[in-house]
Amino acid sequence: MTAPDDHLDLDAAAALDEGIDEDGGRRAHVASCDECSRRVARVRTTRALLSALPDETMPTDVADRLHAALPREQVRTTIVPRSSRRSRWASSPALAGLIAAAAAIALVAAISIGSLRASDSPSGSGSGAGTGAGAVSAPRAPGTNFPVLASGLHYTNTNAGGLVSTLDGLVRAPTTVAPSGTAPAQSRTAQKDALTLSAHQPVAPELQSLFGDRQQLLACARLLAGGPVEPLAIDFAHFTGGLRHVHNAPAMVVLLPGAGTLRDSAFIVGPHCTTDSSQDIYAFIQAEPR
Amino acid sequence: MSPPTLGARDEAATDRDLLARHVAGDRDAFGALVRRHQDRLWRVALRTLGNPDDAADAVQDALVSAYRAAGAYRGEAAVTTWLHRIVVNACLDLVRRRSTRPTTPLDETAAALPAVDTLTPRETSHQVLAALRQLPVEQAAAVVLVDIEGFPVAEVAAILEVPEGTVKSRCARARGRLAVLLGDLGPTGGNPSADLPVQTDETRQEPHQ
Repeated sequence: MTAPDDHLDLDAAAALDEGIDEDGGRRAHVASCDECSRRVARVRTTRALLSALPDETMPTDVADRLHAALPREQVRTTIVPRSSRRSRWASSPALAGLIAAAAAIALVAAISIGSLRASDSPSGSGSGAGTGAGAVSAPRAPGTNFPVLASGLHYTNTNAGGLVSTLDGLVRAPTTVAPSGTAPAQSRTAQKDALTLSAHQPVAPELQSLFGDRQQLLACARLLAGGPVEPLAIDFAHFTGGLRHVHNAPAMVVLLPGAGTLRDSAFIVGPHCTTDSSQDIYAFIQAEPR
Repeated sequence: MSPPTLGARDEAATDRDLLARHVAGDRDAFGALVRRHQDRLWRVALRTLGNPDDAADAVQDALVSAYRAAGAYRGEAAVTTWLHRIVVNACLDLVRRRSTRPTTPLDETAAALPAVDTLTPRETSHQVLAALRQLPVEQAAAVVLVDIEGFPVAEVAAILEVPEGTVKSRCARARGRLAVLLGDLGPTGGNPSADLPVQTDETRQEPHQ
């Protein structure tokens, strides 16, 4: 800890000054050695120089750009390359009778994201919601084949990150087969405390109607995402914690796809998702990178 | 350059209130929260990174990420601790990605910056900032938070997510290095006895081990 000249070097002087070198002998030496005292004082002078740096404020242009970026980013996070979404679900069986909802949601989505994605509306160019509402015989209802499970798990602040990542892994794993059925409540085997795509634990009464209604679930996911995304999965469960400090509240974990460099993420929400998402978001969780 | 005014409702709200309102969908709440702390977050990023363009990028990346991730805030740390953690992590990530700075301790023989004891305060702070840029970024972050911004060591440990002892040793190494780099820079030159506004062990806020 000493320099070649038998005095403390400045690193040692700084350690002594910070109190992380409790060697009594060195302290005694410094007290009686002018050169070492001078070096400790140099360290203290350095601290003084640091603390004397003038306060600065964020430049106006930086602040303006920052604040402009905040709300825009929320919209941008919701935009997902549609080509990849289509291929993911291309083999799933079609659903009849849902095109009306899809078209209506397309309108909502178009409003949500404004002109950013006007050319990418799932209803196609020139096809409005009114037109779509009558087209019940369409062969495919895009975006309603996502897995809906009822793990009944108790998500908390502590475990939600891990559970969301697990769910994300189940959905994203190449070996995972997309659910072949479309009715979520058909002949599923209960698997207690297991997070699987076929989990079917009892669903809280508040969430019962949503559980069987994929149109509503899709609408919920799109409200949360603010854009025309399909959820990767929705898990019916419970949640404790979050900023709202709910306790064991019936909750849906709505797993949404990331885009670009953004990871997949999940909103954990209560039962009023489709009508008033702003009052019902318990937590937002990012999945671990795959 | 005057800061944007907060509404009366925002001024009365705690940081946690604002964050809760943001998570609940209030589109103005996060901006109000950021306005409260942006100058300090800016200074931390600027002095850790050493240039305004990088600092602006890091702060923006960090706060946009915080905007999205606010729901995952666990309330265990103060909101300011959480915000600083996200900003400092963005700074560290930026430097590690670019590898433009040392991430390991500097060579003992690093040359001192030119130093004279007749510098104006502006020149002095320029020299100090130049010296900070030569530190490994982890040391720079620690010493910026502790010595420049005056955070207690315990809070810096929470921001950096390292033990307090690590904060102290990073600060000590940074100060020793800065003392070398700055030579005898300072109003007292090499004379230690003048009454500088030096924090003493007694006045510093953190407990010593």
